[in-house]
Amino acid sequence: MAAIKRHISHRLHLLPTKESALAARAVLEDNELNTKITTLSIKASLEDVDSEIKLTWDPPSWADTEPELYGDGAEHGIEVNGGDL
Amino acid sequence: MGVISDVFKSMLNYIGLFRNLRRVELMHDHEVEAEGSYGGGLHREWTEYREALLKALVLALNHPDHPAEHLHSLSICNLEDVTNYDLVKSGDFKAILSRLDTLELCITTDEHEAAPESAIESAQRHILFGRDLRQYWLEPLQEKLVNLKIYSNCLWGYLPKCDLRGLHFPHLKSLSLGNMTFTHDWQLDWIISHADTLETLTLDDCPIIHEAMLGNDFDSERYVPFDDTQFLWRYVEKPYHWTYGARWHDYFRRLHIGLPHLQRFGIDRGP
Repeated sequence: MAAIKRHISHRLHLLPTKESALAARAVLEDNELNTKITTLSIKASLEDVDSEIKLTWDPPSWADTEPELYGDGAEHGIEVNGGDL
Repeated sequence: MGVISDVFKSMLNYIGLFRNLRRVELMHDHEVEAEGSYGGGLHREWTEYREALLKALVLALNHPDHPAEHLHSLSICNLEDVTNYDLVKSGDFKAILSRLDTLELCITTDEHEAAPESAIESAQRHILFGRDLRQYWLEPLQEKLVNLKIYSNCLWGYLPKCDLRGLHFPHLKSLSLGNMTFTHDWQLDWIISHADTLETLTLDDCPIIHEAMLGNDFDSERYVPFDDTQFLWRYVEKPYHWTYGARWHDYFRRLHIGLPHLQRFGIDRGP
């Protein structure tokens, strides 16, 4: 963390992944780093993910009726048909 | 199908706890696919996802316990041309806008890859540029805005029509327009109406349209009535025709004389 503190930019990048959110939270909870952040840059989608995989905010209404398209256990974490990306 | 993590949602909800947060940038994917469109399915984000994310962002920035009090700059890249009226009419959205002196919007429309000629008929883009952009984004910011940037992946200004007349930003110092078409003198008049404050002007890939032929009749100002845009590209034996005589040397002369405080002027075709 000390190295991060020395080189931190004023800009914090946030991707829609659990890992990115945890990293951002670590910065948020660090009193010194927290105050250095002036710009938050949020990217809403992931380029290295197949475009067939559409992101959704909540499990879709048809998740129960068409589990083969949705998978299970996808309510936590970014998951593809139930598996982590 | 990828469902957004609760950890991410929770983090987003806490962003107001960054004590010096001044600017937020939200970047969506550049591909959109509207209902009934002919796109290739390459979009990564459904409209519902975009709306949910923007709503969550707005709620977080105006969180009752930890609002982003110092926020003054908002940038949204690839904002889909679909307005969520519940959101833009909400107190949270208006509260966020009231803090901004900088707004940067790049509006993304469905490009209809299989039938590009029909994209111009898209009702969504005509509604957004013709009404919603002005009513829900620009008018509330008139008294405070210092920096304004409006870009789009589609040519805008004439089709879809974007009428900025009557809108004035008394503190505007920097204006950037991307992919906007010049077809009427009032557009230049509108820019020059900010002569008292404007220091930076960027016209990025903004052509002057000299001549047009349309399948629709147009009004006394050469604009196609809003309700008729669904028939724009139909074949007709005798298309309606207009010309616009202004050229860049006319524009440059007027800008030179009309904007005495201008320090930076950019005109080119951006990336």
